[in-house]
Order: sequence, then structure tokens, then C-alpha cells
Amino acid sequence: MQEIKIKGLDETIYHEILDNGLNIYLWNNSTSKSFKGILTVFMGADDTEFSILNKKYQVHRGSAHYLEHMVCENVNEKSYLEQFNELGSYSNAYTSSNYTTYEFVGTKKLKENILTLLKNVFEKEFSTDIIEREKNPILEEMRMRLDNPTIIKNFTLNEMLYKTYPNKIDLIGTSKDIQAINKKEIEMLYHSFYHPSNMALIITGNFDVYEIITTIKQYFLKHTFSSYTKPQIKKYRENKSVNNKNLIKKANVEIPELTLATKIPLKNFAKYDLYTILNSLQLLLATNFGNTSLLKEELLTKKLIYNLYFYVYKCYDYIIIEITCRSKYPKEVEEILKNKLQSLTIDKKDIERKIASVIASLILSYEHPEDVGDMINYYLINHQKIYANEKELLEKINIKDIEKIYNLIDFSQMVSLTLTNK
Amino acid sequence: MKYKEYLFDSFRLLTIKTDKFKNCIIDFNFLEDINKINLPKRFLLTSYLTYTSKKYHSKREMLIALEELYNSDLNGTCKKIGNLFQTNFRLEFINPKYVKDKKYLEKCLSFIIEILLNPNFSHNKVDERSFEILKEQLLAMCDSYKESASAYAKYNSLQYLFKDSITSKRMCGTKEEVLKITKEDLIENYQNLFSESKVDIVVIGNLDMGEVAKIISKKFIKKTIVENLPSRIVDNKVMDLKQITEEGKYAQTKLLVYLQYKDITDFEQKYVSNLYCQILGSASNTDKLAYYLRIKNSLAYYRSLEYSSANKYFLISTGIKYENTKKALKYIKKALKEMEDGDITDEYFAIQKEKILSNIIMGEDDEYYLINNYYYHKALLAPSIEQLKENISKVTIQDVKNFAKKLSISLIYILKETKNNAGN
Repeated sequence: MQEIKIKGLDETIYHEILDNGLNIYLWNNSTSKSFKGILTVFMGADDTEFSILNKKYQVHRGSAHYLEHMVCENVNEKSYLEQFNELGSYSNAYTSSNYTTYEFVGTKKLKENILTLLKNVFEKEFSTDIIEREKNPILEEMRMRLDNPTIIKNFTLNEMLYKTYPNKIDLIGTSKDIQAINKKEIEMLYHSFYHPSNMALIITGNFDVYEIITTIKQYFLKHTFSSYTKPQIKKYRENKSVNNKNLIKKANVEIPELTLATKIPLKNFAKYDLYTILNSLQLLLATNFGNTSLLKEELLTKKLIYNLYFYVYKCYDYIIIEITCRSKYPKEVEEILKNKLQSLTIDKKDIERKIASVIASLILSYEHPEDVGDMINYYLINHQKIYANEKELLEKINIKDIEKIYNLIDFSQMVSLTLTNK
Repeated sequence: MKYKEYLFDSFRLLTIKTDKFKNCIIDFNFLEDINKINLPKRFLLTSYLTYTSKKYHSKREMLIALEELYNSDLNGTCKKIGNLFQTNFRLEFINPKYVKDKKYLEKCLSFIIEILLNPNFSHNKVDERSFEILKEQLLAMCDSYKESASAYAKYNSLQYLFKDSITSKRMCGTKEEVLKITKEDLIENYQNLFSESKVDIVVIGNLDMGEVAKIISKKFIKKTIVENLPSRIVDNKVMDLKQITEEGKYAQTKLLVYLQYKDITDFEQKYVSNLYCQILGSASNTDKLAYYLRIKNSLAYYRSLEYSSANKYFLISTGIKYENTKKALKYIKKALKEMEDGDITDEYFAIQKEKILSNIIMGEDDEYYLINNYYYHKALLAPSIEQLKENISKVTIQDVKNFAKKLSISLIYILKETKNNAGN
């Protein structure tokens, strides 16, 4: 087992790759009374078109989410939730664009919890009756999401930003998609992606790491898997230009919500690693649009906005910078924000203070089993690795690199979405 | 974990010393009679105190100072607790052992005390700029509940059940109320905060609590002693059953069912209610409501059950198609009847009890749970963690059955979906 020493934080994450390809990450903390287990499948709502050994497959949007619901059900046996309930634990599952996660939180019988999780995910049988029974609850979940302005914003923004990516429809699918999903599709998706080598298991809490790893290994001695051919997910040839630059859409918002988003090819930043790109931009935006920025203070004082947020993230081959605010004057604010984006200031003192703040947060992040589990999961999903030297990486970020990264941004591909009251 | 109480003339300091966490929290809790408070004014004052001060004129300056304190976090929140009103100011900061600055603890405590004792009231006038910004934000909040179908349905339904009661009043008030707030109101409200409230300061962390008490006693001043506050429980009358249907602008119909009761024992309110909620509607899809609404009849994706002991009601809510309302209601009533009949197996009951106990143990890993539990235990006589563990274990199926019989449906509220917006 590999010991990953988290430099400067006096923490260790244990890592093991099993023969079947499953990546296991363990973090133990002798003072915790609770524990968390996470099993993530690296397949999500966007993975609707793929090929295995040159044979092409296509599933409906929403099928990954439907499959997640079905994994939580059992034929002739108590459901996933019921089984954890009997262990006195809480369990949950959720689907995102590129992953599906199953998890539990509890205080007793960790080994039983882990085995319950593995059994429920890996020993699966699907039934048409249960699939049909769950259809209406999923349709209701979809209708509930239609009332949520944040969800409406997210997929509308994707529709504006991208021409080819499949994320322009809510990950749950449309009513038509949900109606069409059947057992054959669910089984095909499950057998194509739910293999240990396409998954990561994370356990955090107070336990003996060797005892836990032995429990997991013993389970897989009894449950073997054939060799895995990872499906080739459809590659999208997404042009750098956006699909639609301006849109006004009705949603459940009492005050209009303006979102500006810029699409920047990741290849523009070829000299830098993803961690440095995202954190440099995060620092740059925090000093220019964050709570301590002069711009936010000015816009609030002039009563032009009610709030202001920013996000930086990677979506396929692009980095997206998103600025969003509530304003009665979205047109006027749009101009101000666009101008600001073209002339961001890089203040050494501000940046250094923010870096010190982020490092303080990093020290605090290794505390609760739940938070540590989620943090490891986040990095595995978004960076495909965990950083043993995160503190060093943050300390290394400097003004020159931030300046260079900023200069690599082409703001020509920007979209503006305004949500207005229905 | 070491709990300690320090008594001062006009306030109390409650400390929890533990080396379990890397951060520390200090809470200043002001508890008052809600009937003496104008809710939106107090809400605005709380925002004002954490937005500007004599030393830090703007929110920006305040936040920069917090970042310089190793990213400490300051929050001001208000909470309605039945007949009582809690105004809380919380500072979270990193354990001083991670910081080189030897005066770090004193600087953190001084920071929050400075914010509380030295508001930006220069020459008895509030800072106009901050006042206008915050008032505008409060006005925006007045209608924000309409953005969520669930919040909208709850607010509307509370008006039918508790129209003249504090239970139905929203923290941010109405637009008319907010527009009337003057700068002078804010100063008066600040004075009331100190003169009308009982103050408990609660600290958790691996700190020298003697040192904490010394710094607080030297720096924090509160002149007035407040002795008696009303009971937190609002004496809401049990209403006769009515059913209301309204049309909303949302894609999904919301069905809300309120249950009320007259008299229950202290044991029922504090412990039996936990088991009742768990079995009726809070047990991860294995409870009665989940079984009937989702698993067996596929009517809904979610169901939720809320218990407000201070306002004496239970609220069941779910999202469905309007055409399924009657069916859903039938099954909710069936689930309630089964609770009254004690239709619960010993095995299931024992599992749910274990689950509640497990949840309490999980709370012991959470500094927010610990600090809140200690405060509510001391200020409101809520059960301590040990009392919860001990008494939950004593609850029987018969207790739950007896409790269920004391509840009756008083309002069925339906917020009907808009046809052209139903997502089909």
C-alpha cells in the first residue's frame, strides 16, 4: 500500500490499486466517531455515446441517472437505502455530468457498511417491474428540477456555450428520454462502465487501514471480474466559438439574474498544469470580483447589483470563467463586467493575502471524515489525482504566472444569459 | 471534551474545551422575547453590524481584516424560536497553535467584540451608504421565497393556519415594512439588542478557556441584566380541518399537510417526537410516507416531514402531479393511521432508534452541532447529548402510538401546477 504524505499538513492518505483495477484511498483520523465511504464510477450523464471494440452504442440522456436509481434498488431483497438504514447509517447516491457516486455515513460496523456498498453496486440484477415503478418518481424529480432556476441556468448556459457537447439538457433527461429508458439500456450501461477499474473507493474515519484493506480484498477474492475494455467515449469536436452569444430566458427569479461566461480553449494554457491554471484564475477573479474587490463594493453602493459570484472550471477541452449576479439593470451591469474582464488588476498584496487564506482553509480541510472523503472524491473526478504537495503548489503561484495566464485568455467567446421572471 | 460555565454579571460564558478540531468558534447569542422585536428591523441590524463598523467602514475592509486573521469567518444570523428570537454573531478562526502570532487569540476575540460594541454609528447616525445597500438587499429578499415552489407553498399555507401568530411571520418582513425602516430605527434596535436580551457567549476549541474568559471579561461590556423570558412554545390553537387549493406558476404541484396537537408531555416533545418523525417520514426511503408515496405507488420523488416543537405543528410535504393529489392524500392518511395503530414491528423500531442514536454520535464529530447543542441545552433547556442518548433509548412503540393519537390534520394545502409548465 502506498502512503501518500500530504506535505506540510502532517496527513497521510493510503492508496492501493487492486488486481481488478479498483483504486482505493483511505484516510484515518483517531478522533473521529463517524466514518464515510464513497464509491465513484467514472461515468455520468454526458456519457451517452460510446464504443466498445469498435461497436457503437447510444443511450438516452438521463440513463446514467436512471441507472443510479436502479442500483439503489434490489430484486427480491431490501433496497440499498434500507440495508444501510438497518446498519444505522445514512446512504445516498447522485449523478453528475461525468461521474456517479454512491456513499454512506455511519458510526458503527464500518466493515459491514463497506461490504453493503460493494454488494449493492457490484452484485446487480435489474427488473423491468422495478424500472417501471421508478419511472414516475424520476419524472417527478425532473419536474421538481424544472422549478429550480439554478438548474435552468446551468443547462441553458451550456446550450449557449457549446455546439456539440451533450450537456445542454438537464442530466436527468427530458420527459421523452425518461419514458424511453428500458431494462436493456440500463443493463448495457451498467455492464459497460461499472467495473472496478473504472471506479474509486474512498474510506475516511477512525479505523485500522490494514484491516479495512483486507476486508475489501477478501470481498474481491470472492467476486472476480473479467478483464475490462474501457468504452471509448465519443470525442466531440467542439469549435472554440460559442453557440449563442445572448439569451433572455424566463425562470422562477424575482430579480433578473445575469450570467456572463467565457469559453477558453484549455490548449491555450499548455505550459501550465490544471491545478495552477484553475487556482491562478480563482485568485485573479477573487481579487477582482470577490467580496474584497473594489468593483463589487462599487456596484453594491450604486445599487446596480444585489450579489456577485464567480466560478472557474474545466468542461471537456475548455476552461470556463463564469460571473453571475442579480441585478435590476442587467444590460448596464453586463457592460461594466465585460469591461472589467478585459482589464483585470493583479495586485501582489491582495493575491498574497488570498493565497495565505486558501492555505489556512487547506489546513482546516483535513478534519471531518465527510469533508475529507468529498475532497478526495473531488480531486479524483476533476483532476484524476490527489495532490500530495497542494500547499507547495499554492505557495508557488506567483504574480508573473497569474499575469501570463491572464494574457492567454481570449475574451472574444463570451455569452450573456439573463433569467427574468416568468 | 470539557464543558464549563463562567458567570458574569450580565452574561454567561459557556466553554467546550476539545482538541478534536483544528478550528475554534466563538458565538455571541442574544436571546429575546420575539414579541418585543420588529423582525425586519432586527434582520437589517444584524446585517449592518457584520457589514460595517467604526473601525472597518465597509464590508470590504472587514473581510480583508478577516483574511488577515488567517481567513477567519464572521457571520450574523437571526432565528425565530417560537416566542423567542435569537440573534447570533459567530466568528470561526483557526486554532492559534497553527499561527506564529502569539496574540492571535486575543486579536480574534477583540475583532468580534469590536464589531459588536463599536458599530458604525458616528455621532449617533448610521452610515448611509451601508444602510441603503442593506435595505435594498432586504427588499429583494422579501419576494425571494417565490423563487422556490416549496418555500412559496409553505409561506402561503402558514398564513391560512397561523395568520395572526408569530409563527407565520417571515424574518425579512414585507416590502411595506422594510420601506418604513429608518436609520433611527437601527440605532434604537441596536440599543434594544443589548438591553432586552439574555447573552450567552459560547466557545469551542482547543483553547486556554481561562485566558478566553479573562479577555472577554476585560473587553465585553453589557450593562443590563435580563432575567425572565417567555416560554419558547407558541400557544397556537388547534384549527378545524380545512383544505385550500391555489394555483402556482410552477411545474410541480406541492401538497402540504399540517398536523397539530393540544397537549403533549415534555418527554413526548423532546424524545418521542424523534421516533415518530423517523418512522413516519425521515428514515431514508424506508419510512411510511416514502413507502406509500414513492415505493409502493410511484406518486412522488420526495416526501419530507418537519417538526416545529416551538410552533406546535408537523408538516408533511411532497411534490406530485395535480391529478394524483387525492391518491397521495389517501396514502398520507393511511400512514398516519398506521402510526396511531402502532403498526410498527419491534425490529424496525429498534433499527430506527439505533439510527437516531447514530445520528447523535455523528454530531459529536461536528463542532457546529456541539456548540449549538450546548447553547440550547443551557439557554432553552433542550436535551444535552447525553440526555438525548439516554431518553431516546427509553421510548417504546406504545409511546409513539399514544403520541400519534394526539395529532390531527388541520390543514391540507395544495399549490397546483400550471398546466403549460408541467414539463411534459
